[in-house]
Amino acid sequence: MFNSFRQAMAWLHTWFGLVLGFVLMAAFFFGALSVFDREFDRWAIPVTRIEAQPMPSFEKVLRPAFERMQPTREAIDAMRPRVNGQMPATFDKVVSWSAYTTHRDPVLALYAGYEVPNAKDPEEAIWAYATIDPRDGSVLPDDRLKIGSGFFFPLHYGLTLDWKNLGIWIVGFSALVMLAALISGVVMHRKVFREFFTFRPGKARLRSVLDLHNLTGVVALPFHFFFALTGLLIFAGTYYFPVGHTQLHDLHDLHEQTEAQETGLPHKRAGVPAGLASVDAMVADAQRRWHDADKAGDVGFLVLQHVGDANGYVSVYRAGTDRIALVGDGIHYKAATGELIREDPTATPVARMAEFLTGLHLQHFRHWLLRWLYVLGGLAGAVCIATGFVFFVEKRKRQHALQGSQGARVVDALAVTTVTGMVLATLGILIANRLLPEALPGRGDWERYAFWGTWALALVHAGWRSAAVARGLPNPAWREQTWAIAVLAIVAVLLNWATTGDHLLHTLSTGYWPVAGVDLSLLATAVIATVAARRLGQRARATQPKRTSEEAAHV
Amino acid sequence: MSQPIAIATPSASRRTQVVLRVMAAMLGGYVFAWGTVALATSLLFAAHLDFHDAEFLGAFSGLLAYVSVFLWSIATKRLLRVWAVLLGGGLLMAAAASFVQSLLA
Repeated sequence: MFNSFRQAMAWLHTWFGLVLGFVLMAAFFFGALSVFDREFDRWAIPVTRIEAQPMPSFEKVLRPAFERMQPTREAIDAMRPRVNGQMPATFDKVVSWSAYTTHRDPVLALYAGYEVPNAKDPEEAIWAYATIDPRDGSVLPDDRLKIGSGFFFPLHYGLTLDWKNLGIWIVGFSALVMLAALISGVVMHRKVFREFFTFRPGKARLRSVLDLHNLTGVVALPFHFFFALTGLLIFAGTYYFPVGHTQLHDLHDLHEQTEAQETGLPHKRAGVPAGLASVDAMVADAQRRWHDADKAGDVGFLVLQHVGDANGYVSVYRAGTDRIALVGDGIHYKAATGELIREDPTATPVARMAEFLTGLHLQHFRHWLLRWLYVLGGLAGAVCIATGFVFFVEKRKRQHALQGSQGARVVDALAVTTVTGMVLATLGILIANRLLPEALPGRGDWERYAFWGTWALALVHAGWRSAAVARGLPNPAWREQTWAIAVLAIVAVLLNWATTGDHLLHTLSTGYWPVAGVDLSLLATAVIATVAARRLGQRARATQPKRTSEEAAHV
Repeated sequence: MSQPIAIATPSASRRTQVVLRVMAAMLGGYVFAWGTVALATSLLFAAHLDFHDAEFLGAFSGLLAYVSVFLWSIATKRLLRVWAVLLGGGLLMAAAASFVQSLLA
């Protein structure tokens, strides 16, 4: 099919890059936003705008909150078909109580699983969820859309296409192709350099676009490579290559049996009621042990298994704020007596490598500069793909104009939609979040509709304004949508002020960075968009007289 | 191979070529990668690695194999050989993995 390896690589880079670039653009952009997912959550749910809190006392705060929890009516109805006979009025046999927090979470997520009498699968539990204020245990509304961790983050890894995990597969395949595109890009680099920098007419603009493409691609090459690879690794065992759950299921079972023997953590209830020793004392003991091992002592995850049973045990896991590797360092205690059952052993070399690579991607560490470098890396990836689109179009559009082909026009309209349209959709959901009535039923759904609706409008607008591209000229939609970004970004900041009173002077003077940071980033977006829109306007005016003379010449 | 003709006529045959090649890279590559993951996982477990360690290294090697055969499928001249190696190799490795499992479990 191709005469040389380099030609094949160029073909792969161009066409796979074009088709999957649209997906990768979303993965990069929303990945960059997800670095600050908790901060977007605070911006979007004003009632949770409080300082991040450590894991609270179990006896004082968590236990009363857990004891109040029960599965929702919806959860019970959903469970009904999987049960023989009647569902009980209340669920009292607790499989597990657990609480999860990070160093950036002011609110605490609680999970409670209960045994279901007569369930067709006796292992299946019914779950209840709650979000509480860790300072006093009061219940916070759990039905608000967490725009950062509940929308931008799932967009990043699965496009929120949940049907048969289709989105996760599309993003995964795109990540694989990105690895291939990076390798093929390196292979073709010198040749592209020679060809387009030396021979092509109109090289000035192409050169700057290609420069930026190569710059963002090469400077952040290790970042791009590792994030595509670690992202794939995180999901490989569960989604992409689930050998342990399918083909090698027997080996996995074998491993689980030996592991259960080694850990001594009971898998089932004993059926003998038992009390609960002080969990706070167990947590204090775990923290002392971490401290002695020279590790930071924040609790990230606290689990009580088989609550109220003689086989019950308590697992205390560490929040890995002090290193890149995603660690647990779990310590397990007998619930009834508080005696130590087991400390998780030191990780094997391979497990340490896995913890490092997943931690590198998921960033549970406490390091703000590094966090911002992640954002810059993600945005560099987005710029790399955006310039790739522009280069694709610029290289072909005059030729297509002469041939009467619509190819460049279509690609350009899709590029506008994916680049500026995606930013607009993001602003659209933030604005809808501030404008919709607080008590609106299904408020989170309406916010999502605002996101997709804005994006669809951007597509229609880009297509409607794209005729110029078929004549070899720039699409004015680039400039118009860039102006729209500048305006909407400022509107979002103003709406935050108007609806919550948290204007920048206030958030900055009180040092409340989650909201101040989002507002400042929105303003920075507005400034960059204004500069870009003005530049695009100048260029449009510069090409205007040329176009009329060209058209006159054609006539 | 009829390279010059295929390029001179960007026709149905060229289009079929492209489709078959892309499918080989995507689907054949996946079968090959699955085989690599399964075989590497089972062999490493047989070599007394912890199961999850073996699983992780298996996935790692499978992903690198996927990228490599993906590039090779696009670049190499003989398409039939690509299909033969990817499907044949992938299925053979998967069968070997099941055989290793049957010895252990």
